[in-house]
Amino acid sequence: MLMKKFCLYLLSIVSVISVLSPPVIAKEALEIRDAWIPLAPPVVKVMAGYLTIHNPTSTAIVIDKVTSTGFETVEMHETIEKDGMARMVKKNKMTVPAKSDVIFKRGGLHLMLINPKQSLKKGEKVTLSFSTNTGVVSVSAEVKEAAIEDHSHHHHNH
Amino acid sequence: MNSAPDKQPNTPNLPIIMIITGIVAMILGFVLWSYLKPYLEQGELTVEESLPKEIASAYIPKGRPLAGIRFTDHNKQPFTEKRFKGKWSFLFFGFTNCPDVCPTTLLVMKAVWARMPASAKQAPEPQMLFVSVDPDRDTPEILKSYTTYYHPEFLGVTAEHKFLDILTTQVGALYGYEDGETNNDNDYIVNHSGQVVLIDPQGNFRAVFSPPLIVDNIVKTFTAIREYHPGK
Repeated sequence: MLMKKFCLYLLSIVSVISVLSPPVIAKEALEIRDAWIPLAPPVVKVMAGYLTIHNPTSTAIVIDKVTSTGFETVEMHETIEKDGMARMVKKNKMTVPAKSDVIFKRGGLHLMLINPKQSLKKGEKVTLSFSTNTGVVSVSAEVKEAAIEDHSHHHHNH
Repeated sequence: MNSAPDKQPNTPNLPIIMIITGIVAMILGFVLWSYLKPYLEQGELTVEESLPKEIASAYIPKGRPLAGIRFTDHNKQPFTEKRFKGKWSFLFFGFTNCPDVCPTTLLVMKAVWARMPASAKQAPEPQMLFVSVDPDRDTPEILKSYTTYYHPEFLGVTAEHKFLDILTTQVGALYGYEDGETNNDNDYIVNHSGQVVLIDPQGNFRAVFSPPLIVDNIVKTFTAIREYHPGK
């Protein structure tokens, strides 16, 4: 009788735990896509990286570091206009809210890729690794020819 | 005066009347001239009221002659205000260690150049000048490599700060520096205005295109300005 009760308790505890655990056991990570680097003059020491970050989870995820195989240092910056001048504001952390996208694009958030290990040609790829509180997410970013389409200047997000 | 009017009431004294009329006319003329003088000097009566809508937001009716321009171009040749004469010039500001804003501006100007109609590009061709706001790091060699990458005909120009300031203050452009994260003296950020400035063939600061820089808007406005501006 005691054994039966004990087993019932054990069973209910295990059930409760297994119902609650999926968010912890399942891989809840940021999804990063469309990462690209505009081709730049070979002489430059600094390039930009643009991409879309999607958080499919129901909790905000924070990025606190970015590294790359192709560059000495990577920083996150935002281009803003203040007092009549364009400025870059460094972001030491980037919070991606639950079930949201954060987009890095021209005139806004961007990766600052500093000191390329070698000058990058069109079509070459580098790996970008984002350290977050739920783990590291790595993506491949391709160097592509850049051109202006006027629609890209109409920022709908900010 | 050879007679007193009140002693001969029946005969109008013509000389007196003429003199009085003359004096009154002179006074009236002086009053009218004083009132109109400021308007005539600024040409406002004839020019400002008729600015076409297409250029009104960018065109500066009383252009400002540029002076004291002492730059070096990316071929290491002197660039003074003489090189503004005889052609239109687009000026855009930036620096080569800029990852986002400057490449975007150069791509916009590259597209402006590509979409400019032949009528607006006719000889003499407008010159496209990339003005470095970071003379300490942007040497003529680096500037040449950077600027010609975006378009082989674009010209980079650089000047030490006291000469750079002479240009920026005359065209209302701003720039400033902020330290970077490291202790490295070479690590700093440059903040700067994003507007594109137009200089006319007489060497005057003549128009401003403010951000956001839209290619078709710049092309249309420049084409209209070129039609409108006297002494094209």
